[in-house]
Amino acid sequence: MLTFLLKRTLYALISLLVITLIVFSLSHLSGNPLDALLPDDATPAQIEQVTRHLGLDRPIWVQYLTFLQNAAVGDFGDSLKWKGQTAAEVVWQRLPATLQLGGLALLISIVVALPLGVMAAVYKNTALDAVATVIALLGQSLPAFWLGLVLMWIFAVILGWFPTSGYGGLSHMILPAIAMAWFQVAALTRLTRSAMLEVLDAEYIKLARVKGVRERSVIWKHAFRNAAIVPVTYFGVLAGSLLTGSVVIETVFNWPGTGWLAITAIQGRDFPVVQTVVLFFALLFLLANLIVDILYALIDPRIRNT
Amino acid sequence: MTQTDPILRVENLRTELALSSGAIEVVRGVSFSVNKGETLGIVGESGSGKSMTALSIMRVLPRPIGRIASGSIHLNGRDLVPLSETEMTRIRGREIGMILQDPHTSLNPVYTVGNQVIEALQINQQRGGLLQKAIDLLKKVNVADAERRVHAFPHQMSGGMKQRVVGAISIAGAPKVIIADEPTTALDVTIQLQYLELLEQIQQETGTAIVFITHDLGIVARLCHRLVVMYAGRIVEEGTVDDVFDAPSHPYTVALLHSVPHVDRKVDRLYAIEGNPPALHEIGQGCSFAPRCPLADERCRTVAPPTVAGRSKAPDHFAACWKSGELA
Ligand SMILES: Nc1ncnc2c1ncn2[C@@H]1O[C@H](COP(=O)(O)OP(=O)(O)OP(=O)(O)O)[C@@H](O)[C@H]1O
Ligand code: SF4
Ligand SMILES: [Mg+2]
Repeated sequence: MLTFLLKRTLYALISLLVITLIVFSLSHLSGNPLDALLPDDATPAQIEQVTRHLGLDRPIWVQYLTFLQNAAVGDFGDSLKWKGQTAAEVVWQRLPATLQLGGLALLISIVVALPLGVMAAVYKNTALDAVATVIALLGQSLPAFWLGLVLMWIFAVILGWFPTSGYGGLSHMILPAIAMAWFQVAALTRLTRSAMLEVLDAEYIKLARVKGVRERSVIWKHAFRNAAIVPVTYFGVLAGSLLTGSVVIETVFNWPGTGWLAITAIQGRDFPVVQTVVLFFALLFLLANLIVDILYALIDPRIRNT
Repeated sequence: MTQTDPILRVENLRTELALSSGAIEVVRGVSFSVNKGETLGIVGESGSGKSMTALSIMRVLPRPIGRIASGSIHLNGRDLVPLSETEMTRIRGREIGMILQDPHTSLNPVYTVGNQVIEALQINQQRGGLLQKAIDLLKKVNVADAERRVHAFPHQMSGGMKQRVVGAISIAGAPKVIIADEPTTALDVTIQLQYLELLEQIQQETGTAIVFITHDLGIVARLCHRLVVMYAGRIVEEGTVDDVFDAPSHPYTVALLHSVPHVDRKVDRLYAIEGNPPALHEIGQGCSFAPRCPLADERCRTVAPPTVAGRSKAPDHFAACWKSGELA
């Protein structure tokens, strides 16, 4: 179990290293960073000074190592748009808003999709199953930003039940969270349903029944624990798409999180901030996948023992 | 009648599966009974409806397609067919248990053996000292090193061991009837013998009745008191093992026995009979065995055969054939 986790953590660290390499290379591919840093009419002396200050005159691998070293302590340079703050500070301030919204969306996805998927499988070919199928179909064919706008129009503009946009408490979060979660509910319901259908056909389910296990226990103890591997696998993807989804939804709902920040920073050519957001997202994504691995091992002894 | 009342009596059982192509009848009017402490063998080719009969009795037909269309299943005098799912849950494991065919897939891979045995004990109202009781139960089915194995996961055990665990689970509630659906087919020959001995031992100790489903007439000869032969969802012959082996009274039974070279050796040559069993939706009016029967005539093909006394003339020997008298 311990070796399994160590191995997974090592993989995560390697992935992280690769990502830093990509981020670093991108910052050099996308033109000379100086162009973004200096005004168009900069004097040669100014250029010279900034170049030296940023270490751009040193060999590329030295620059990368410096970048890594700084990244390790959370130093990504100063923000260009938000003067007087470091990029890390800017991102750090926006992170709670994103985590709140993403967390709520995640919660909605799980709380709605898992029971719905399980019940759709148990009551296969009934009205309940049909409802779940329609939800899945709708969710996967509606783009999140469009759904966000529709929700906003109906429930905020017409009905006035919720604020249209901006940062605030639960009432501000509900519409964007639903818009973010909708697609995930659809995907997760479908996955859970098919995983459950497969497991419910297994011989060990038959054995559980013939040994007199109550139906509820057959479903949740015997079947769901086995079927859960599939939605858990998806959790990694889910975390990733909630993060990318946050870019769209936060912009639509004017929610001042890191997704919104990413767009604003790109528009303002605030490269250090963009870089930091990307690395933060990567880190969260790797963390989510590490959690997936741990859950795997907890669920399935066959994984634990390899 | 001085005979003991049967513990399990199945009467005119009909079971249907609702397939997308339409409903098919997989069990077509099956009747048999099993007495206390008796072992009844059910033999027949693949697809003859043996498992569907067993699953009907346990009321665990494939959902949602399976359904008992008619008939009764009296267990200890009580009909199981009209019982609700909740009532049935209380009967399974306690009054009737089952051992499935493939030990590799019948234990839940994510729980320890102990967990699954203890669950069976709890279902049967056992409280306190459950771990020790589970270990004792595993010892009873000859699981070596039970103290350690109780904490093992199924994937850490051999097929023979797993089937013993399944056996332990089936006897946890001391049921009066155990249905074993080809419990040894997936095991090696030597392990098979050990397992059969175990079943005999359990039966001697507990007096439970066993319904033993198999392809293997050698096992029937060894283990069973009576047998029924199934063909295409029907019972075509029924009697004591001695009577049926000595005086087979249905051409299908004759063919089965011919395909067994040595009664004590593991064989699986039922397929050696020419032709295949009919697809169930193709079964017509007459005898289902007619297309493969050497004695078949026009009457066989058009009129379903009656159930007649077997050639042994024993009162409990029957066959469903127009011409059983012509078999020599
Ligand atoms: N899930 C299913 N869907 C469709 N048909 C099925 C299903 N299960 C069983 N059948 C059909 O029901 C009939 C009886 O099957 P059953 O499993 O009872 O046979 P069996 O005698 O146990 O055979 P075997 O010796 O192979 O176990 C067969 O014709 C089979 O094709
Ligand atoms: S009834 Fe006719 S076809 Fe059927 S088994 Fe007897 S002889 Fe053969
Ligand atoms: Mg079978």
